[in-house]
Order: sequence, then C-alpha cells, then structure tokens
Amino acid sequence: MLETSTITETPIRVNEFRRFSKVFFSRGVVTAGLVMILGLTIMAIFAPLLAPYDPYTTSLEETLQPPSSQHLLGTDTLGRDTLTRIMYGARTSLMIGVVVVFSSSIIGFLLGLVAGYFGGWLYIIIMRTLDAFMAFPMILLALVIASLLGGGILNIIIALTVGLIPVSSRLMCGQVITAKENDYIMAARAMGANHRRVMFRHLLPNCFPPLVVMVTMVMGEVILAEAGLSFLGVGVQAPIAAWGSMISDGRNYLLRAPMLSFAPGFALMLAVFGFTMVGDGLRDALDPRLRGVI
Amino acid sequence: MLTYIIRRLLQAILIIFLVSLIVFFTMRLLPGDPILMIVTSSHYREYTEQQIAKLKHEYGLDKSLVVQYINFAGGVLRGDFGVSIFSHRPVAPEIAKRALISLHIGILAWIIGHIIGIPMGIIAAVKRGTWLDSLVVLVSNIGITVPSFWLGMMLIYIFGLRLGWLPTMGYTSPFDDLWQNTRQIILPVACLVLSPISGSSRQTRSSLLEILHQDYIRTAWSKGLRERVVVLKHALRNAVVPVITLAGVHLSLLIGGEVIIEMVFNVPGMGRLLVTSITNQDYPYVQCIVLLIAASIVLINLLVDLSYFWLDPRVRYN
Repeated sequence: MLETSTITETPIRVNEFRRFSKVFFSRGVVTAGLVMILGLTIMAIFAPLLAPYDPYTTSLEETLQPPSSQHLLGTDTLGRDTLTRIMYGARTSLMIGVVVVFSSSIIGFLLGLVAGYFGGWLYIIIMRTLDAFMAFPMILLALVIASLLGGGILNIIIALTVGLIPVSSRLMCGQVITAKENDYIMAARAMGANHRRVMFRHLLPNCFPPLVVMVTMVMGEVILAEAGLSFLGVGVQAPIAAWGSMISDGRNYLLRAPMLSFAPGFALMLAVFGFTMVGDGLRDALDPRLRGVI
Repeated sequence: MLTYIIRRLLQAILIIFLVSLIVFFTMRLLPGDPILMIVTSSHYREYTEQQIAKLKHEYGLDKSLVVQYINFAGGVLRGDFGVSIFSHRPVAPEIAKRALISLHIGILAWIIGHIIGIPMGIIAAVKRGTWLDSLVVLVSNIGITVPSFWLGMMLIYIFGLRLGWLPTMGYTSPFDDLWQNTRQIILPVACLVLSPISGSSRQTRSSLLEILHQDYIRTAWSKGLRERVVVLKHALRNAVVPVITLAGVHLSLLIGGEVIIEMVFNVPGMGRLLVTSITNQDYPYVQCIVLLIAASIVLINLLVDLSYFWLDPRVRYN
C-alpha cells in the first residue's frame, strides 16, 4: 500500500517588490539620494508652513545679514531670509522639473513609439529631425529659445521641453525597435490587434523600465539646466525665488556674504545628486538581467 | 566600407542642412523684431515709416521667409555670415577670434579630463569593491552633480578673494603673457574638467568591468601574463572604444558648460559673446554662433563614427 503523493514543484517565486527593494536599498548612496529627494519635496510642498519668513517681504534694515539665530542662513540684498527663499526655490525647481519631464516624455515617447514601430519613412523623417536637434547642446537650445520667448517660468518650461524631446524619443525608439521583434508582438498582431492596441497595450509597458530610469536621471539635468538659465538671467524672473538666480544675486557680495551664493548652490547640488542616485539605483533594481537571480 | 563612409557623410550633410533650417526659422518665427531693436536702440533720431521700411529692405527682412533662408544659406556657403546689427561689422572675424579662446579652454579641459578620468576608471575597475573603487565612483558622481557655475563662484571666493592666489576673471592671450594666461585659465578649466572626468571614468570603469569577464582575458591570465599587460594591453584597447564614442556627447556638454563658465569668469570667449548677443538681440551673431556650434558637433560625431574603422578592426571586417 503505497501512498501516492504528488509532489507539486512550485517554481521559486521571487517576490518582485522584495527583489526590487533589496537591490534598490543595497547601496547607501541610493537611499541617501531618496531621502534627499523626499526632503526637498516635503520642503517644496509645505514651504509656506515650514518657512520662518515670507519670501517676498523685504526689510532694508536687515540686508546682507550673516547667519544668526533669527536668520539661520542670513539674509539677501533686500533683507529677505535666505533659508525661506531656498525652500521656495525648491518649489520652483521641482515644479519646473516635473512639468518639463512630464511634457517632454509624453511628446518624446509618442514620437519614438511611432518612429520605432512603423519604421520606414516615418522613422527617417522623425529621427533625422531629432538628430538635428541633438546637435545643439540642450542648455544652448533652451537658452536661445527661452531668451527669444522672453524668459519667465512658462517659457523656460517650453524651452527645456523642446531640448529634452530628442533624448526621450530616441531612447523610446531604440526600445521599441528591439521589443517589436518579440514573438508576443507577432502573436498580438495575428490575433487581430490593431496598431494602436499593439503600441499602447503591448509595446509601451514592455519598454517601461529604461524609461523610468531615464525620467529620474533627466529630472536632475532639468533642474540643473533651469538653474543655469536662471543664473544667466533668462530663466525665472525676480522676485520669484529660484536657486539659479539666487546664486547669481550673491555674485557681487561674495566677500561680504558668501552664504548668499553658497547655500542655494548646495541645495541645488543635493537635489541633482538625489535624482541621479535614485536613477542609478532604479537602473540596478529594474535590470531584467538580475531577475530571478536575487 | 566606402559605401558606409559615403552614406554617413551624406547623412551629416543632411543633418547640417536641417540644423540650418532650425536655426533660421527659430530666429525668425519666435517673437522679437531685430528692426525694432535697431529703432529703439538709437537714441539720436526718430525713425519714420519709410526709414523703417528702408532698413527692412537693407537687411532683406521684407522678402518672404523662403527667399530669406536662401539668402542666408547662400551667404553661409560663400563664407558670408552676416553683419552685426549693432556694430555693422561682419560677424565672422569677431566670432573666429572668440572661438579660439573658447577652444583653448575647452580642449584643455577635455584633454585634462580624459587624462585624469580614464586612469581613474581603470583603477576602479581593477580594484573593484575596494575603497579605491568607491572613491572613484563617489568622485564621478559628485562630478556630474555639482553645478559648474556654482563651483566656479566658490573657487573664485576661495582662491581669488580669500587666498588671493589666482586672478578671478579675464583672459590674456598666451602669446602676450603665458604666465598670466595660465593663472587666469586655471579656475575655468578646473570647473569644466569635472564633467569629462566623471563621464570618462564612469564609462571606462563600466566597459572595462564588462570586458574583464570575457574569455580572451581569462586566456591572457592563464598564459601567465602580468596584470599590467592584461589590463593595459588586452582589456583597455577594447574598453576605450565606448569612451571615444562619448567624445561627441562630452563635447556637447562641455560647450554648454562653457557658455555659463565664460560668464562666471568674464572670459571673452564665444559663449560670452553668445549670451551678450542674446541680451542685445543681435541676431546675426546668435544665428552664426549657434550654427557653428551645432555644425561642429555634427562633424565631431561624424569623425567619431568614422574612427571606429581605425579603432575597432571588427567593424572593418563586417
């Protein structure tokens, strides 16, 4: 009398989320980057509650104060509190960054999807035009467009979006060209799915991981570029607080009040560092070559 | 191989043509009227309608956009890059003079960056997982995140204002005073060098790491070759190809960075000329400089692509 027992061999299921977080948090700098981003975001959202002063109230008796217990990072040429303006500057930077990355991604991914999926003439026209745009350094293209449009937040957003579209669409296009060779795409076509369905239901989700990495990395670049434009004076206009223009404002007072330029630049560096590190961590964690290994 | 070169050459010409279209139409279609700038910039006399029309005619701005583009492109091909709206002098000689200054600083930064960055990448890859590796990775991460213009101001503060070791601005021709020139470009080059350092060390590290796992490297080890020979003679030759590929990207980043750095250090280079021309809305300058930069990036990318044949024999046989 033998008892038959069926041994059901369940495949080793790796919890995707656990695998992801294990890789993602394995490096200290990545976690530090995430903390920086979260800190800046909280600072940006709750700036009116957290900031000790009003970012626009000038006080001519308190100009160029050194750091003190009243003004932790001192005051600027108009007596405004530097710490407060850095908090509001985080708002400006993150807002512009998010909008630019979002809008350029939508347009860029769409162009890349269409060019990569259909190929042929459409590919040649779209990609060659984007190649021509890639010949301009992003900051240069944005500088010319922003200054011709006349500065201001909206125009900066337009200028940086134009500068970024080639980057996102080229990445997307490359992804789609590799992904469309997969059997499941042919299967979907054979089952009668139309082009739109194949593109948005089958191709797009499969191209996602590298796009997420790019979006994070590019966020840092956009924040840096916006600060550069504001530094040159074609970006965010006074009196709105922006890190780039704050650094530039401190230029003539380096000896008297070095904190005026140092502090916003340091915040800028932390923000860019945060996004770059998180992008790096995401790349490792989303790497399909590691799937099933850890 | 010849067909590839010809095809690549035609592609570059097409892209330069598209670049010229983009530059021309961006300048024309966006708001901002050069004639209005001339009229408002002269404080001496009032312009009548006829005079404005005459000015428009002089600059060829009364013709259709297509005719204007043909005139512009024809001029560029003949070496006529237009006349400044303000100084009424041809823009080309001034740009050439300024471009030399920018090239001097930019190429120096590019070369120094690679001289430092590539060995850093090699060390990190060979000593993977040690503190040296972590240090290299950290330095290159900081290199891509530090805003160069902010770093420039901090260097001015420390070395120029506090310590008084180096001049904080200006540019003297190396042929007039080499010592002064060296002192003046140390800080701008130090700011610009960060991006090629981190770019090349990251790329060298990652491609070397990939190659060190390959079979032929194991063969080299098993032959009993010394580490120096394996890494520098066998692995590096292949690892350096992707680093060269990125030369165009680095150049593009470097030019973008230089525009801002020249403003920080008051270097009278092409980037500074571009920014001042933009503020003055001196379109011929802006148009010509942007076109020049974009065309040189296209050419560098072309050279990089063609250098594969020389660098990587595998490409030649395919």
